[in-house]
Amino acid sequence: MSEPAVAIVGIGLHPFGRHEGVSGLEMGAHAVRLALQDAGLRWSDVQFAAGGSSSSGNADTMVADLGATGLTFLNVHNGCATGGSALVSVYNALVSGACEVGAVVGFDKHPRGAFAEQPEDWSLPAWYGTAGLMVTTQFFGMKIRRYMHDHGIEAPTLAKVASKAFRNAANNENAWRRRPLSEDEILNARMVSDPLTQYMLCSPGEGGAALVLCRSEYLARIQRARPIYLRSAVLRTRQPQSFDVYSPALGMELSPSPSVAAARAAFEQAGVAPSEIDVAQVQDTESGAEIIHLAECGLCQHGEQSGLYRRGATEIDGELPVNTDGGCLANGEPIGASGLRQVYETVLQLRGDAGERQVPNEPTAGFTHVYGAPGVSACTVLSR
Amino acid sequence: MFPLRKRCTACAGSEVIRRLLPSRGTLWTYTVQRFAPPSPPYRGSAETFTPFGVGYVELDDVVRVESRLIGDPETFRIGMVLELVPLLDVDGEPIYAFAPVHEETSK
Repeated sequence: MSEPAVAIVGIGLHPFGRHEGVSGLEMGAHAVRLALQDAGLRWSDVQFAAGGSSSSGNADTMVADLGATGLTFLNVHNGCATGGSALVSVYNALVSGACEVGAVVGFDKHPRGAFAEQPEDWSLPAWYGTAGLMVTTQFFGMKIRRYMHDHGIEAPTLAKVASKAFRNAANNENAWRRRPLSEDEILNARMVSDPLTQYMLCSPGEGGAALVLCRSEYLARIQRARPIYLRSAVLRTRQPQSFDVYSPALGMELSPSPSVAAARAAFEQAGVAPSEIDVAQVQDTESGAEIIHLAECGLCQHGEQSGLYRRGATEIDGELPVNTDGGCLANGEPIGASGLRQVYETVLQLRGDAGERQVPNEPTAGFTHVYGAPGVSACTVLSR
Repeated sequence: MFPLRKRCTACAGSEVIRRLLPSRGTLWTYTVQRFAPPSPPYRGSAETFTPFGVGYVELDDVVRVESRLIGDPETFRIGMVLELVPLLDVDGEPIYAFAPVHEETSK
């Protein structure tokens, strides 16, 4: 590993779930205050911030709550990769030396029900929406259906993913859905988007997450700093023949998902191999996504997943703990906050602060991954 | 590429040639839309909604097209033969769908 340039020194989270009377922006600002407190820094120390939400307002307006210090503040609006994109921006600004201290914030407050997106906003013809094809859960169902067909994975593995999520969330006071569910309850629940049942799909929700980062030289100026190094932060978009959300057609020879490219670049830039990862958070908008993303990110082989879940390899005490805070399945998906929640959890695990859900044996390297419409992925590699 | 665009999604070139796609194909993957999609953009009311199939249909070796599927979702299988059928939305605007080819007519 080369000498890391960027450290995460503060983390903050507004609990995920439903919070009547609290706006998305307020949740974001709350998370920033906690992250600053955790870092032992003041908002006026932050020179560059980036953040955003999908549907809950402009991040930079939270200076009204945090202090209008005149800092550079970039609003980011990039679907499921909003938090990841904001993090990439701040990471690059720190690496370049443009600033010494940066902050990242993501938040959202979605109403109940599926996301209502308009085809015109996604470079798609109007009929795609009127025909009823503009629904993310259709993609989830269709991608995992084909994946199961190609790689011999069966429905009980989908149930194991969800069951693990709720089990992990039971030990996470910030999670939304903390009641453990048996695999049978999950399998026999209402079918929503075949082969995915109600409990195999995450719900749009509410929450906020924030990070404070600095250049490594700056650590000497922070009292009692507890740095976790951000070794890479990478964003990639889709290729022409890929199988992505909102694709009216697919090529006969499919291009790899943007997750493949983003993960590969993140590992290369970090100088860390997938086999060295001790704890991973991968996008689990539904059970199938976690299964597919583990392989797309290089953390296992395609088709290996049934065995991994059967022998408990992805549990907290397994060889590759995955989505240790309950993931999207148990935390819900406030789009802007979701990717930063993964980094928050990974920092907690690498610090050894994860309490009841702490991964044993002092994990040293972590990985995070988000994926979303219309084919975008952001990945990070972190280490102690 | 499908649908037709002014430029190629692979090379961004503007010389796009129209090509008639096969009207028969095989089901590559599928799901069932069991709740009324958010409207707009969906044209249809939640009250009168009935679940419908959605899948990617492999048209020879040309392209896999996403489509509404007609028929009983319980009978859908990867690899089954489907053919193009006209479909109207609630406003009478044409959309399209694929339906299973009946045993007696399939070869």
